[in-house]
Amino acid sequence: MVFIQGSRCITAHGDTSDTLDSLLLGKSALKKVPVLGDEGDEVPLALIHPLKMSNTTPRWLNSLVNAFPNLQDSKWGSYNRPIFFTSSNYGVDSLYAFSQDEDTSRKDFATTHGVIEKIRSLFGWGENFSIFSHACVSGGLGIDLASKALKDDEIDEALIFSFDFLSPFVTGGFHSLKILNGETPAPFSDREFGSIALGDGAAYCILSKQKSNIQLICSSLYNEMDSFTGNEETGSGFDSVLLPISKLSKGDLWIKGHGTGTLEAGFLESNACLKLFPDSPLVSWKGGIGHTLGSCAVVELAIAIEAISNGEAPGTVGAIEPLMNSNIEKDKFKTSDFNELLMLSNAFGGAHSALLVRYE
Amino acid sequence: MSKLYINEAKSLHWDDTPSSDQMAQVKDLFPSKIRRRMTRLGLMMGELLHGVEIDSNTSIIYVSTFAETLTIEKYLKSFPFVSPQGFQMSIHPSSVEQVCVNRKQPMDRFFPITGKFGLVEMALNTAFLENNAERIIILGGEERGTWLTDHELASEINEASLLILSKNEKSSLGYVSKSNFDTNSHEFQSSGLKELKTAIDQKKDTYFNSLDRGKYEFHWKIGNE
Repeated sequence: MVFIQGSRCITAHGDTSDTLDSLLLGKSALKKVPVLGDEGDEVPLALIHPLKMSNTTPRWLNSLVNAFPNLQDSKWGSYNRPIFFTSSNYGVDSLYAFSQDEDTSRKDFATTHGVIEKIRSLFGWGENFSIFSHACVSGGLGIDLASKALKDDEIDEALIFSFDFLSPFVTGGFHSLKILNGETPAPFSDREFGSIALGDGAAYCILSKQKSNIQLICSSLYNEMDSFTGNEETGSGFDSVLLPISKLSKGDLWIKGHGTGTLEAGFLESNACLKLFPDSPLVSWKGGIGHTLGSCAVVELAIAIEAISNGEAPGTVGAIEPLMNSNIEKDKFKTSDFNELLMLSNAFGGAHSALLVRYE
Repeated sequence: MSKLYINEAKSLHWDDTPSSDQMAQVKDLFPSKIRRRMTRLGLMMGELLHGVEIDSNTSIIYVSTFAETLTIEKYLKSFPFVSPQGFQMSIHPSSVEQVCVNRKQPMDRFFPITGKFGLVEMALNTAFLENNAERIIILGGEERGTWLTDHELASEINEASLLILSKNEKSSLGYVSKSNFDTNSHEFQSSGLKELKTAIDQKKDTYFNSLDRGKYEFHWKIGNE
């Protein structure tokens, strides 16, 4: 059996506790910002740091280390305590800045391996790590494999570490796809147009076989490979990732969905959840913290665990009536009314991850 | 010690500017309209995956240090008039998605990995964790860049490799093993995919050995090519 020992995050609202408190009040950290930092259309972003880099060292690096001082421990990255890095941006902010000003001192941070080496050095971590990069399901992959390694008695503990800080590279890209536009997102809301928001975020979770009140029951992965940006139109991808979970879920379940604010995916996700888990409230928090991309699974897991500890989970921040389906929950609710949590993420290419958690 | 048998191993190398012969290898693998929009790395993945079946019992592990370099270069230079296709194609793991979306080939377990130091070990570690799969495909590749390569921020070569691993020893080419750090062996970590391609091309026994990652060894059957 695998248990979650600890999980923390930082978002534009602050640390885990501040983030939860703000979401419980329905507060959004989104602000309209020029999409390229100092020029371009204004789009909703939840930033911890300014979008454009001024210094050569990433503006988020020291705050990342300062946010999680408890992780400064050389045991991480040793043979029995591997690290699973699970992000999507890594060094693209420095790469973009380098492409603009050709300042060669940025090069150390402009690659994934360069950024990871700096982070390892600052935290004092060893060399037993893997770096996953699969867009918004990256966190799900890391948790899945870490859990497997524990179940196989290959390791003693695992650290899943995620960080994604925005830059014009990614905000410009999503804006060009027209889904990051001037509109504020309303996840799972049945309206005329869809829109997303992006956010800065970082988080970790620690897994081990030592008993805690939060058990990771199973994870499920699926990749539709039907199209690059959309989902297979019948929702088969959502059905496929949820089916194994539905066979193992025994209790009263609530669902933290992906729910970015796009229409088609929102309908497909909420339809699939309603079909397999008709009594389970479905929420999304991206209307409050933005979509933190590769780090979203681990960031939102940290918020969910904080919610379980505090007894209340936020509803779907930013949702407006009419809602897409009857299972979508707008308001906060008691986590003690449930004993299971389903965490969902999905990504370009129709990638899906699902985690089933049981708690006391 | 854990073992996985090597059922297939192949690699390819393209010239700095792919020759007409090299492009002819992929000409018939994709419809021309799709092929024209694919990245060089996507085409190389397509050539390696040609004839390789992927089913629900297959796990795919994809590794690349720099991924879609040429697309990233063009995308960066497109600012402030950002290219949506450039953005889409630049997102890891684009190259494998290009092939599998064309095939409409879904898969359960797909693990895109990146990095440089210990990259081969990351792929092998993931393979050994995927021990419920009937087959594990490790795919890796790099495409040569232009101005990013000049700044050592992209690959200098166009190369790709494929390994198919399983617990099936029959007709295998050899095996890969995983064990604890070997204090009697030299410490050596991979620094990208070139060591994987060398292992496949030369079919000489080799190993990676580090205190934190442990030891991974390639053993090839004598006489197999």
